[in-house]
Amino acid sequence: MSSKWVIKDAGGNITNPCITAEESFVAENFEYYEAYTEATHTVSAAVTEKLWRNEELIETDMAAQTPDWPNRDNIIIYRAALRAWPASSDFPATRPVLGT
Amino acid sequence: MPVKLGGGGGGGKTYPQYFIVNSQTWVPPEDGNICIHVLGGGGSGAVGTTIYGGGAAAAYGKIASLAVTTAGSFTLVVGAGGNMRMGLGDGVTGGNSTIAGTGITGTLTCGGGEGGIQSSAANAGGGAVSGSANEGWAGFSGGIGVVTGGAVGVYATGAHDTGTDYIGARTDAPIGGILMSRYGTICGGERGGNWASNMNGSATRLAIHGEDLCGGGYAYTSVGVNSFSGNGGIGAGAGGCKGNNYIYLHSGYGGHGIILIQYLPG
Repeated sequence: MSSKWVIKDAGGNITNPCITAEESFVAENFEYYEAYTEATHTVSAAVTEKLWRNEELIETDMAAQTPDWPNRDNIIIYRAALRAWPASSDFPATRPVLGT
Repeated sequence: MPVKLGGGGGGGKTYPQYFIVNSQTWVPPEDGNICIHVLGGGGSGAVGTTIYGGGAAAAYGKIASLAVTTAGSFTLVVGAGGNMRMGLGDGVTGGNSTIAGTGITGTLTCGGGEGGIQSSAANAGGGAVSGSANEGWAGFSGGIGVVTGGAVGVYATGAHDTGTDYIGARTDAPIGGILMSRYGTICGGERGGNWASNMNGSATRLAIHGEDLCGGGYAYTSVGVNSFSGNGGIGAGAGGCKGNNYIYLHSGYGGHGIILIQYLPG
């Protein structure tokens, strides 16, 4: 299977930051290598949770502006909790929950 | 597996060419003279709320003519483009492409383009060419990354944007796209990526990505929507990405490298 690889020297120094190759080719031609990890794709929990928080606020925006929307009082409380969440000690581990 | 194109028609001798995008050991399928074009991987762009930068292009190198036989063998390493950057930080440097083998002195290298730099004081450096000139190996450094991605240069050092129009840099290679390449000439795209703002992830309709060998465009958001700067074309750098809130920002990918082998008439 073709993939990406980081090529290193005996001292562990990177000699080529990223190549595309099948593993058999890499093993045959390089003594020191490792699979390339897409570290820049890693997103912290704070980032993903804040994105979720923003989506929730967008989803409930209409409800907050419509007086007879079902469960509106709880939605307004929920939205306030969403806004306060990033600054609280519950962030990002425990999401606010919409009451019924 | 290399992609073979070219030749055909008229019943005369054909002169195939091989677009190699995955590292491999390559054995010439027939005797003859070949031209080898090598491009490293382009750098991806930096992401920042105030300071950001485009990725640089990789180096381009060429052996204009090399006699080969089916008894020969070449080790071809293809550098990948730098991965996209998600969240604040510098871009990712592209990989080096190298060639070595029968009739070539040592290993010939086209360095990958540096990832975009989150600094107003520095630009990402273009990849450099290195190796013995014994077989006529020569080439040029890639274009630096400023705001948008740098371009691959095949007749001179690669171009970069001027910082005033935010358009990805354009290659000096003949236009038409890389598939128009043949008989010792490599072709590139006609334009670098355009810039985009507040496109909520749909910036591709603004043609923000660079065409072959051309740099990617820059992206900006002021309203908290997902923004992606333009990918670099083959071997080229990606654009930088800027916005008020880092959670929405992503740079483009640097263009992957390639090795193009062309059989030559005569």
